Amino acid sequence: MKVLIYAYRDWALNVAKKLCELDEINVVIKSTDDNYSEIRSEHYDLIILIGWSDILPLELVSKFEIFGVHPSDLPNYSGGSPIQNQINDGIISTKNTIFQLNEKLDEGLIWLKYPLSLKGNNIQEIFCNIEKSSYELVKRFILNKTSIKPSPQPRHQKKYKRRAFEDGKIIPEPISVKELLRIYNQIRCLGKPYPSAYIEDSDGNRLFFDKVRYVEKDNDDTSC
Amino acid sequence: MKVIFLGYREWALDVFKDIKFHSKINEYKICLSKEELLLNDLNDYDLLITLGWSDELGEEIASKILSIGLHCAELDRYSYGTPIQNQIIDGIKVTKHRIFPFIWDPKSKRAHTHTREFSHEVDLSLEGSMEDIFQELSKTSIILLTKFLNDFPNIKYIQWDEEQEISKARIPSDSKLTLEILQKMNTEELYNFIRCLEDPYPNAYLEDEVGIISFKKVTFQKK
Repeated sequence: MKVLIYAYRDWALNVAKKLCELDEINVVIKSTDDNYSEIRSEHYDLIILIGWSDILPLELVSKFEIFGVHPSDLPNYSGGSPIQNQINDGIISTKNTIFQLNEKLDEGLIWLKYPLSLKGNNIQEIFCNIEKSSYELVKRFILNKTSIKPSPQPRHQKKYKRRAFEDGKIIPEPISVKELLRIYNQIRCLGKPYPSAYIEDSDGNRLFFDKVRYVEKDNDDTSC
Repeated sequence: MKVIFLGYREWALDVFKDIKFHSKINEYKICLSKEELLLNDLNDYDLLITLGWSDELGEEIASKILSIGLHCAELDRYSYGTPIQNQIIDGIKVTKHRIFPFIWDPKSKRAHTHTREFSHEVDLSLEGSMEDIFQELSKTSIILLTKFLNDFPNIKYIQWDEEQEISKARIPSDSKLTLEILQKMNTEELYNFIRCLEDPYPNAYLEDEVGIISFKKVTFQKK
């Protein structure tokens, strides 16, 4: 089976490289779109996008079966910045979903889900969780696709916008119960490759929070 | 000459690795702790070089051998411990890195017992992260110790001015940020407070009824 994978982020490329080790499949990895000429070449049995943020041309999703990995329990948190939006809502355990692309953003058939933890003190630790979950998800999907029955998503789902730089601005509020957890979540879901969370003073100077740690008082464990 | 080194921090050990090749050093020994140092006959050595050493040496060492340390402050008020942190929080961006000789005086209130005398000094930048500052300390330490060894044994000392003002040594609970402190600080002051308490120091932190958030790394962007 020939599988074409589009991936450019480090964690997504790691997933693709690990999939290359499976005997059952022959994987080709593309990290730039090149106008999607590889898809058009029609040489592949499966086309999968991992951590791919570009929206594919409509003519391609109409003509080919293309699958995407979305780090949320679809249809929840469809649209942009799913990791950040879930963490900021206080979600710790979620699912990673592989779905079929169609003409509407993140609304295609759902094929398979796999557990995903959003724990971690920074985005690199969270990417590590996404890498592990995505590998298991995509591997199981490729090896069992013929026996999986996809399910449609409900219509008119809530769509999240991709976060902008300004969304990383922390508005400090009086320090009260749970306030620090909100700030911690706001910081840990950003950082390289995203712009770090920041505060800005009246002169326009910005202080970026690149790395933090949170400890709950009662159990003394790093937590989120 | 025979030199004995005392230090345990990584940057200090890196400096020793370079300095041991100085042409005047025929024999050397590196000790990671005071206990290890005291296992040696100090009368057998010409010089004790300490680096990143924040404890007192005491009479048993300072009276037996010429012992030098490096102090990273220009003003006398920063002689009482945690000089890097106190200077950064006070907004100082460039200070002095100096070689001083240890003496022993049980009545001294300073972090290291000395007579405010120093032999050599260079500028030391306090900008950037603690990692940047440690790198800077390594470079300036090599320069200072090389100068000292070049001049040895004809070392001349200068005395820095005494100040009545004391900048107290910080303790871990001083790393706590409160809403009151935050409201008084602008972003640059907050940046200075957090960056000087990066690892391996007790990180700046905020706490509420549920948990504690520690700030491990920050960057600053001036408009």
